[in-house]
Amino acid sequence: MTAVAERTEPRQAARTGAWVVYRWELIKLTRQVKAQVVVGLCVLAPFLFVAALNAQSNVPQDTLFGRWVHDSGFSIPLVVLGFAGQWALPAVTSVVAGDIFACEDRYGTWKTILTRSCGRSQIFTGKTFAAITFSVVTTVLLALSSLAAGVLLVGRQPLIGLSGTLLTPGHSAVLVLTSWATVLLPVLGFTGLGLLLSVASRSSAVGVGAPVVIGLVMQLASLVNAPSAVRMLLLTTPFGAWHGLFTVRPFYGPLVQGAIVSLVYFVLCVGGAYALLRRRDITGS
Amino acid sequence: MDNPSQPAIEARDLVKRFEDTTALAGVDLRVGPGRVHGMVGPNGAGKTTLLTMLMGLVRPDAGSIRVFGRTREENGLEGVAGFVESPRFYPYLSGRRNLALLADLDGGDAAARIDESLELAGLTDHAGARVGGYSVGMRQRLGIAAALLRDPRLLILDEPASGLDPAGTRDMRALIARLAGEGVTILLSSHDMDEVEDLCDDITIMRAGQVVFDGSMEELRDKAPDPAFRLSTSDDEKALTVAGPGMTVTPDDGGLLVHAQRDQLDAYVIALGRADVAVRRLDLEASALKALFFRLTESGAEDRATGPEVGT
Amino acid sequence: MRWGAMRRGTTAAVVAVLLGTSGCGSSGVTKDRLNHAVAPTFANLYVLQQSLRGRKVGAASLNSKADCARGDAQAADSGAGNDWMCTVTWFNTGPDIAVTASYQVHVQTNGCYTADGDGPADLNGQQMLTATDGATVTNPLWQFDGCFDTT
Repeated sequence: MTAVAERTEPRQAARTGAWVVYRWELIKLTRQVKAQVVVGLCVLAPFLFVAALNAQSNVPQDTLFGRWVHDSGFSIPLVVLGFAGQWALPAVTSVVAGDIFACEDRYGTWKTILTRSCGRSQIFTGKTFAAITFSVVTTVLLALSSLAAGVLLVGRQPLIGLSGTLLTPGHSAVLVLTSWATVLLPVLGFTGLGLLLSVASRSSAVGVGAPVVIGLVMQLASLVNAPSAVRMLLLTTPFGAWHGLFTVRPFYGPLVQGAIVSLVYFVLCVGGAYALLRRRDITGS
Repeated sequence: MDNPSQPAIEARDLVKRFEDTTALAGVDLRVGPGRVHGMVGPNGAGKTTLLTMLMGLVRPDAGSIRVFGRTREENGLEGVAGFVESPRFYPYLSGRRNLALLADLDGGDAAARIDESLELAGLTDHAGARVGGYSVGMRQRLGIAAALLRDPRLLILDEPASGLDPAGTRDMRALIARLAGEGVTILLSSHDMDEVEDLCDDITIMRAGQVVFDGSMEELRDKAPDPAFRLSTSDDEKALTVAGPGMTVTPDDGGLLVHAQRDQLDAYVIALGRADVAVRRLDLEASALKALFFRLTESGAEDRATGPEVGT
Repeated sequence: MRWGAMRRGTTAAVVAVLLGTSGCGSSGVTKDRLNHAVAPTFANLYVLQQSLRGRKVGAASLNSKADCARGDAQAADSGAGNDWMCTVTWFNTGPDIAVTASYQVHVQTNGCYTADGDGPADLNGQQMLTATDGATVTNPLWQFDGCFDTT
């Protein structure tokens, strides 16, 4: 056996190993009731929300675009984004991210999977990408479903933007989807937070619950007029950074800041989770 | 690539502390290739810590481990399989699906061995059922099947018969003997001295994080003390006075405890008859190995201070 | 050890960069920014309202101006709060005839605001209005939202 062959073989195995873990995590997710419930809610909830709005004349005025929910279907996905996004998206992402490592503690299966030919970094990579996939899929589903609910149940009327101008249906749809795309980054930040807490606490309750609580606390902090430097470092602020897209002269400062903050959260949390898992002793039954 | 005389496991001076307890205080272990190596010791002796360490789940604070000459960083788990403590699986997947997952993690041709492994472990009939509904014994069998998927050259089994009914225990021992016959090296921990005596070529006895005996079963038998018998007579006081040289008779728990070789015991029983003492009951209290095991693992603290290392 | 130091270093660097770009923690909500956001938004919505009522006007010809201040005389005219008052002035029928309207404005820390019409009643006092085609529609000037850049 040549030295080159010896060195490339494990590297190739490492790639396929992470892929195998990723594939199995997705298979396991599709078998889990809670994942099915969350995906179902992401699809159905916007329609129920619009149905509830249509049954009454009141409008959710305290949310951006809330006063137009009866006038343009494109306001619906934006109201869902502003209204439910801040707490619903962290909750949805951590249902899986907060549990994906801790469930191995709950089932006692760390020793089962870590004594196979897959290394810890492959297991970590596969699981992390599975959690990211779930977060992205649920966010995209919620976005498409709320856009569909708005267009189907309210209509394709032009939307009044944040400078008072009318936006054509096509332009509105593009801006709606772009806005939802921008919250993928803070969603990933919360995914990282869930992963870190899942590894560190070894408890699904903490992994799933704590990111939601942290999200609510951060939101509270931004409501009570925290200094803008503090507000900027909160992971909930990027969820509202899309509003600059809806003015006549769009501004991107909040989006850029939000992207940096989200990525920093993601990298620190995932890096921390990896370091913890690498060094951890697997004991106990 | 492997040298046939290379030890399957060579561990040196392993130390592991968990917060305030010392689980391993400098343990050496050498398991020869193709041997069945037993590991015994009371609870808390460090057996499980040592096994988890050999399987790469726990890092030693100090010391080194080589499996087939490789360290953990050098793909040290290749050719190694087994389980530590009771094997665990995903309860919401079937037994077969759990094995499919593990086979994928192993890669290679592990997936092709699923049916054969289920068959060998005697689990074919239940493979389609969710593991959540399995009994302890069935999970144990699934643990064996999962280990066999790896086509191991070294099998590490922690209390393999635990949770099995007598028939299951018999199957398990037969399977271990069969694998050993095929040249697989087996390291098994047990609290059952009879099981170890039945199956093992070599034995390591641990106590309080240290090895107190390490050697072949023959070496252990040579060191074995006189076996112990429980005796009940019509007149225990008189029986005490009849005891011959080279044996001990002590009152114990409403009867007598006799430590003697078999011929000494025969002579003693005859002497009791001559002295008009009737023997009402005579039972083997502990086999020679059990007696040695107890002596090695239950000796007092002063023993430990003077170094109880036997046979190392 | 190395990890911790590396992480602390990264965090410090990122915080420094972010603080640098954020104007060192001072509030991004200022009188000037609010004026420049409210005036054109009002103008656009006025055009919309007038077209609903069957009258065509151009936003640019209105030459709208806003003058915003916080209701509390003690407070500086900056920062988020629900006590902002804005007076919008525009030219309706000619360059000489100025018209004004009042709004109570709630400004949030992120630069989004809600303006609530405070007279004249004909302009912004009613939530709904009747369009020329007879339909009852939301009055765009009753309340409106807008956002401006605070970074």
